[in-house]
Amino acid sequence: MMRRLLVLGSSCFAAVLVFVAQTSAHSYKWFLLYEPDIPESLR
Amino acid sequence: MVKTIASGVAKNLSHILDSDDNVEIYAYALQLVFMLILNLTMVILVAFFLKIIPTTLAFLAVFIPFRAFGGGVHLSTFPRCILIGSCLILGSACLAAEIKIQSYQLAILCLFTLLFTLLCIVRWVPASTVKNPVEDPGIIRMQKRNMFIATIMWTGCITTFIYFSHNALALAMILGAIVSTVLISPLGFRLMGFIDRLLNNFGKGVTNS
Repeated sequence: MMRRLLVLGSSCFAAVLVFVAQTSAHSYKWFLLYEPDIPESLR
Repeated sequence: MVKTIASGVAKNLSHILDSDDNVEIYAYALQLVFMLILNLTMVILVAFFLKIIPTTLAFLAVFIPFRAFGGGVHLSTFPRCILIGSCLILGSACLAAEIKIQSYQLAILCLFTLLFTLLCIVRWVPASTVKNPVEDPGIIRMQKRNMFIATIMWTGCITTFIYFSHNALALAMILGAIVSTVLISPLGFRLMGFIDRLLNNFGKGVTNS
C-alpha cells in the first residue's frame, strides 16, 4: 500500500517536473535570474 | 551545489519510478524550482529585516511575470545572478519605500515606462539567450501577446494605486517594470555583459551565457 502511494506521489511529482521543464525550455521562463543549461532531450 | 542536489533528487525519483529516461529533465526542472525558491526566500527574508516587504512584493508582482513572458539577460553563474538580481530587487524596493513622490510625477513616470514597455514588446520580446534561443514564430507571437496582457494589467494596478494614493507601491511596480524591461532591451544585455566580464577578471574566468 505504502509502496503504491509512494509511486503514485512520485509519478505526480515527475509529471509536474516534466511540465516545468517543457514550458521553461519552450515558452514560459520559470527561472528569474539564472538560466541553467537545457538538457539535449528538450532541445 | 543546487545542480548536485537536483541531480541527486532526480536520480532517486527515477529509481522509485524504475525508469531512467527522464533523469535529465527532472534534474533540469528541479534546478529551476530550487533556484526559484532559494532566490525568493532570500529576497523575502532580507526584505523582512529591512521592513520593505510591501514594496518588495509589489516589485516582484511585476518583475516575475515580465521576466517570465519577456525573457531577458542572465549572468553566467547562479551566485552572480542571485547577488546582482537580489541587489536590483531589494535596491528598487528600498528606493520605492524611501522616496516621497507626488501622484502627477508617478503618472508621468508610468506613461514613459508604458511607452518603453510597448517598444520592448514590439522590438525585443521574447528576449532569448544563447542557451535557449526562441525562434518559433508561434511562441514569439504568444509571448508578445502574454507580455501585452501583463502590461495592461500592470497599467490597471498602477492607476488604482495612484488613485488611492498608495504612491510607494505604485513606484515599486513602476520600478519593477523599468528593471525588467531594461533587462529585456539590448542596454541590459550590454550592461550585464560588462558586469560578467568585470567579474571574470576577478574570478576564475567563467564563460558568458
